[in-house]
Amino acid sequence: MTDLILGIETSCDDTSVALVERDGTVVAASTASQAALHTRYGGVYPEMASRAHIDKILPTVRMVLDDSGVDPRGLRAIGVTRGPGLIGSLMVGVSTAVGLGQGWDVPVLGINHLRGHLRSADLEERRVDYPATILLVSGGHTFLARMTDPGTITLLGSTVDDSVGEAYDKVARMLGLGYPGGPAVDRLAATGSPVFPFPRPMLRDGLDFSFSGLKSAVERFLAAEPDAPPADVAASFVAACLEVLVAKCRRALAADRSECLVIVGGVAASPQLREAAGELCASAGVRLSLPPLRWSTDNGAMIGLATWDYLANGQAPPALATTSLSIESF
Amino acid sequence: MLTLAVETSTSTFAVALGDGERVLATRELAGVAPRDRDLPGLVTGLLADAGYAFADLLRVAVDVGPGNLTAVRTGVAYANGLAFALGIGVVTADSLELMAARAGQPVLCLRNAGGGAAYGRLGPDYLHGPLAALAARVRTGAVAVAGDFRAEVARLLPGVLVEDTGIAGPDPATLLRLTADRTPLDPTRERAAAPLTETSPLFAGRGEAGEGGAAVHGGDVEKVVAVLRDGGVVLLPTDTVYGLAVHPEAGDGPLGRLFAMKRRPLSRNLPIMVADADQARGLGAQVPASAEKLLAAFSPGPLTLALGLTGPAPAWLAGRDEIAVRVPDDAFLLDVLRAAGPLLVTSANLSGHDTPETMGEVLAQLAGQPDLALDGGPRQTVPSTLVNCNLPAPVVERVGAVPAERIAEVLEGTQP
Repeated sequence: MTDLILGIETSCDDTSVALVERDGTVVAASTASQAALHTRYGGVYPEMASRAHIDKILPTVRMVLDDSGVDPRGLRAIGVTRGPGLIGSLMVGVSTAVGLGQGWDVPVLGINHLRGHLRSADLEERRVDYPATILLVSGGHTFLARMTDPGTITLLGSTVDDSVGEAYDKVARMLGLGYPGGPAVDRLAATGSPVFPFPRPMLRDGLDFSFSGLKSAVERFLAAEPDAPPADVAASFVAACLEVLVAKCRRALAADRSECLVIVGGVAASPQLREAAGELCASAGVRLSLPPLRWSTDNGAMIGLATWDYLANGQAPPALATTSLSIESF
Repeated sequence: MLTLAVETSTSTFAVALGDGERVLATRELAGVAPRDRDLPGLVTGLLADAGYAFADLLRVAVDVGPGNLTAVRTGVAYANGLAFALGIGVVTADSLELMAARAGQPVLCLRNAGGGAAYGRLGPDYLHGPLAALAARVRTGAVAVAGDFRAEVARLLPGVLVEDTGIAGPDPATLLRLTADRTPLDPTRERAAAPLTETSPLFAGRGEAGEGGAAVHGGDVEKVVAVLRDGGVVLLPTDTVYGLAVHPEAGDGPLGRLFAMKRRPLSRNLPIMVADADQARGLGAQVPASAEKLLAAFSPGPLTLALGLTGPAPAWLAGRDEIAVRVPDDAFLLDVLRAAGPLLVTSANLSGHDTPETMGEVLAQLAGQPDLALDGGPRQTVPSTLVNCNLPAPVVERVGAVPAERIAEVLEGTQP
């Protein structure tokens, strides 16, 4: 038996597969991105996503197996994202995974996508010391959580409306920057000044987030001042997001002792967020753990690593698509 | 040959194990919510019933629909995964041919396509369109029906004797029988076994307008436009050769797929088809006197003009200073262009090959499947003539369907 898990992720618009060891070593990984396919919609178009997944999933699995030369019949397990996510996309992943599992005689576990993200910082090398405070910021999610060990998660706060990634995408669309909007907004913001006073929703209020009001404020502002320099609008929007994210992290770190602050999810790629988080951690005296950029967006490796936690905790949820799932559940 | 048949296109999931056409065991799962349908559990139970193991399987047969999209995809994804893991082939059948084979007599099979539309098969013909239009294809005094809408067909055809076969959907035993002689697919090839939709070539262009003849477009303009806007690649007949079309505002995704089908590197400088000269001007094209003359003489028709871009152009032409435009002489295509706006269209062939005459040959040659294929019957293999009007004096850069002498005659006396 090889001590390897095959992780499969198809919850949204990336078909991603990886072979992962217990310590987070990634033996092989491959991702077929659909970003180009969804650019024109300013977001993910579910039917096209499902169609693309069914085209790409086995070629992606084969690529990972060919790259590594691993005999899949010796796998420890297959971990596949069971949710949360788009039902059609999830169904392709779980159905393919159970077919593979039966054919190779390997157990298949349904994995919580969010737990995958939380573990992404330990891929390739160990970067997280426990207890850790974790900020998950992506297109679909915005959470603050505390982990006392890889299997034990307490939700501290989450968004009451839009995710921060969603707000980025929508502002990108307002500014005509296309999809995915995060990197484009950050690049434009880097050339402008945060001169417009956009609101900081729930800034002084607990550990929950809200981004819907900020998004609407940008929309109203652009309607009223269509000639405002887009770079300044982007910079002002990013500044508002960052101030809120950093304030919440600071509050969470102050409330309970943490060895490190971990930031994961697609928005963790933001250079502005990385810089601001670095300053926060320096002043709070905790270590900042960031996954390499390739692991901060959706990927099969993080699902593979999370699967090891399931085995360690004796958890084996069936591979059935589950569109909504809390961060605390397995 | 021990074969597992997977049928998930209806609300009842059903599986069968067979050896050739002989059914060894069947199992089905009814009355379970879609998300809780445990297909792998069903198959495990089936094999246990018959006393076999997964490793004994030699092929997997799967119904590729049309049917409920997510349910069909569940079956297809599972079948592909299992076959890949076991290193065995996948054989497929569509749900309409399965119902017809089950009926064992000439029959009209229908499947609900949503929104009052249906997928159908009447005799050997595949259909897609409004239910009433499909029913109206029945030209005989009596017809047997299978699948969805069996009672509705009787109401829609008051003068026809409609016999209800009682067959509501496909079954895995027929799937075993029908696929026993088929050549298996490699499940790692892209789209080896993909669910069927109305954009699949099987249905495309075989809508209600089709009259059974070959040289009929049949596809409705709205559907073609919707597929293009959704980023689809459409194979369509033009007044010259078969062409591959994409919507210019759909981004690089469809362009990339179009060029992959042609095995050519991606280029954004594709010829643009327009409904009329005004659409060309709307793109910012400068139409000099020479071009006006050529348009008057050969447009619509097999003449492509290279024109300079001087006016305000749409975003997708950013960075371009010249475009090639053509107004095709084809009523259906002109309707599409009026509805969709200008389209990027190039000949439907592999790089370095001629464009074949028929849709079937084109589909066989291309390295990939368009999202929609419209059958226009046999088409020419000669492309349009290309004249560059963005030079001090017009130059014929490619001689095609319009002879160079005709161009010279028309241009005689034209000042650039």
